[in-house]
Amino acid sequence: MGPLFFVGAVIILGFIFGKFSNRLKLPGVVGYLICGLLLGHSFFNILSPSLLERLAVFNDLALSLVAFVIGSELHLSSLRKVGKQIITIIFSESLGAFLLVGLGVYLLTKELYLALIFGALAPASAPAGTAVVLQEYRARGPLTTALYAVVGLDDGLAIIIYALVSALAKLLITHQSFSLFSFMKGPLAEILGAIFLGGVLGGGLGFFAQRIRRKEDLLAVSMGTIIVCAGLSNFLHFSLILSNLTLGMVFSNFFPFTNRRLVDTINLVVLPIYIIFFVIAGAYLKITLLKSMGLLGLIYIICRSLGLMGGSYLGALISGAEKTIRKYLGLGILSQAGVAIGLAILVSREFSSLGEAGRDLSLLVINVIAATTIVFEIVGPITTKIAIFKAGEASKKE
Amino acid sequence: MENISILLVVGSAIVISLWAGKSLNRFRLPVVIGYVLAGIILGKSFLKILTPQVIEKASLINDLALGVIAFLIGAEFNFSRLRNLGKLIILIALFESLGAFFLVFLSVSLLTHKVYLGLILGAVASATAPAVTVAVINQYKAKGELTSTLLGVVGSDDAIALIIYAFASSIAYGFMVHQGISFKQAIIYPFKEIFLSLILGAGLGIILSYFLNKCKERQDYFSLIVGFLLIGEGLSWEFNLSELLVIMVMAMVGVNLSFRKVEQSLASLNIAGFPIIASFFCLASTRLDIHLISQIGFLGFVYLFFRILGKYLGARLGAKIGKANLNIRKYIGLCLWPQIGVALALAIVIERDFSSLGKEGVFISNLAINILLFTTIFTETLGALATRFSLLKSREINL
Repeated sequence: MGPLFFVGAVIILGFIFGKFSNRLKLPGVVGYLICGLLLGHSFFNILSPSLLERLAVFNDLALSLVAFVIGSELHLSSLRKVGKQIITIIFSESLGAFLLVGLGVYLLTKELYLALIFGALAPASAPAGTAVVLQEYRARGPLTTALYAVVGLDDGLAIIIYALVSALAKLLITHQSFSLFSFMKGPLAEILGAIFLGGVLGGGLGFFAQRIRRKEDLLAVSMGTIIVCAGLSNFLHFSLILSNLTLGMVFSNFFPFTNRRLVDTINLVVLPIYIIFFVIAGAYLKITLLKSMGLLGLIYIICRSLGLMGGSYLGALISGAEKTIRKYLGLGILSQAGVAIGLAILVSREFSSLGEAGRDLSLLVINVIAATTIVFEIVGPITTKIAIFKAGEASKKE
Repeated sequence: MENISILLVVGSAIVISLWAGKSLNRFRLPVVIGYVLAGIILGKSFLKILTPQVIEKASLINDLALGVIAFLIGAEFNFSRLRNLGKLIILIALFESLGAFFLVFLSVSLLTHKVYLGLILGAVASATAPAVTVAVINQYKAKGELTSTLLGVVGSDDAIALIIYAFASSIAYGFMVHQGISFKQAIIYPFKEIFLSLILGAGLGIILSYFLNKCKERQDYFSLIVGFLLIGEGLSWEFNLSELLVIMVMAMVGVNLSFRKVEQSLASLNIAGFPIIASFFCLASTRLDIHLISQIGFLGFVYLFFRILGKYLGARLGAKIGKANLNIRKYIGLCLWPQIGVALALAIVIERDFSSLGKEGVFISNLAINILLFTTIFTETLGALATRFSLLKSREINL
């Protein structure tokens, strides 16, 4: 069978699993992931690795759209009011996860560099897992706005924390000194370049989109721009999430009405792309890793959850955020996926050349992150759903 | 440019062709011509930015676009709408398509002594495109019987062209693969293929509407339709069936079994399909090859002349049988020149179906799309004038 058949089958099967999962009062995302898990090499091995590779373009497309939609939700007018709260929360949840995971891993292994690396990977959240749940239940309210902002923006901080900490960890393994600048150069370029690219394209798109009246034209131009933005980000090694987030943010702030219409239109047609994205993500999960992740994985899961939830609670408390944000934001940001795995792959690339300690470290990191992702990727959307229902911000019934 | 990613190719194709379409719209030209021009300029003959190696990567766009086009054509066929359309329009559409097919088929076969080439070009010739006609009608605010009949005809003959292509290509395929095939085999094989395509399409349509009837949200309808569309294409490739026919029949069955839901999702399909189809036209037109102009020369002229003649005579005959008034009989055949639309989709399907058949296959698929693109220069510009002339003569526009 050719790839087309599989793409079609993935959409239909994912869709059916999503409906089953709705019936169990779970978000559709969970169903798509489980469908992928079953179709992938964990179970029936129907979606072969070569096929998954050919579908990689859907990953970029889905992530770009998610980032664009998140960016569109970030209105400066509302951010100006709660901006300080959001920034405080982002710093405290990221640091909370970093510190607790670092501490937990250190107490278990007594190796400082291991603790640093695992701690650095912990803050990375998965915007797609959270945002798609918010979309599914048409959530609206202060918690929802805060969730969009936090999952969207904390990737930037996660990349910076990782860059700083991995420099330190290298120092501990090789005992050679590095200049801090040489370590920060790449990540900073990745972030600033992405923001610049998204800003320029967003301004250009807004300029043209203003004069467009037909819905079809509007969607087509924006889709084209989003896809170009994704392609250029990949080409220039910028963060595709941050660039499209900036694109959406610039566009929505300068042209709020045009943007509202656009996001409504995107929502009508985006579901099949999300389904493909999550089924593929599920197919990449290796269920056997769960057994071998051991105590380290367990500690990572517990400490990361506690760190994110405690950190956002503290951040919300300090900055005087609303009660719903304080109580439930942490639950909403537990997802872990692409960014964490991407960083784990970066670890293995950077550290496997650094002798035996480095090789062991890379293997351990990749396995533990992949294993815990299974848990977080499925639990994250569920807790997000619980959070918005507890806060009373879901406008669609179960 | 070889390592350029599929995202960049597709994204820029969408943005550039939309921009070109909008710019041409200012000159009252249909946007589709903008997409085609953008493709021709970026393509292998001029700027060489979208070379064959580059667009090869974006073949997924072809799959999606062909599926969407076939689905939209099929979804037009709900029975209540057909009844409103009337016998006359169906007769004219049938005869003008078949007229163009037979005249081009005969003339090209006689000229080149290649029956398969005649079949393929004849099938491409049978399609008409509504964009230019609609643009002329809107521009001059034409009103009257000829205008409404014309709109009906250009809107409904796509399905006929797809069916003609399904038969013609399958016979042509038989001729090319088995040299010296008997006439009987050449006829039986296509019937089998088409019969199976109908069954597969109808089966998928029934399952689709079963699922549709269980769902309540618009996003859900859209996902289901896209999923079944891709499954249908995948299956038709696997079993060597006609993908366009399978999808078209699936849509026909679907729209008649769950009318309201398919109709609602057509809006989403139109919106989502629009960038896909725009970039499809752009990418398809990059295949224009100016080096072929000397080889095409006379053949292109024959195609152009007999297509126009066939459309004219066919439409006239259809109008006569349908007892249309004199105005329609005399002038409707002159309004059917524009072709760029479904014909381009057929040309891409030809490339897929035939380019695996060795050198000759690559040659004819190249030839088909280039003849189409070259003659389009005349059909769309002079076609607009001919339509304007006919509407003037029949007093349906006032200057």
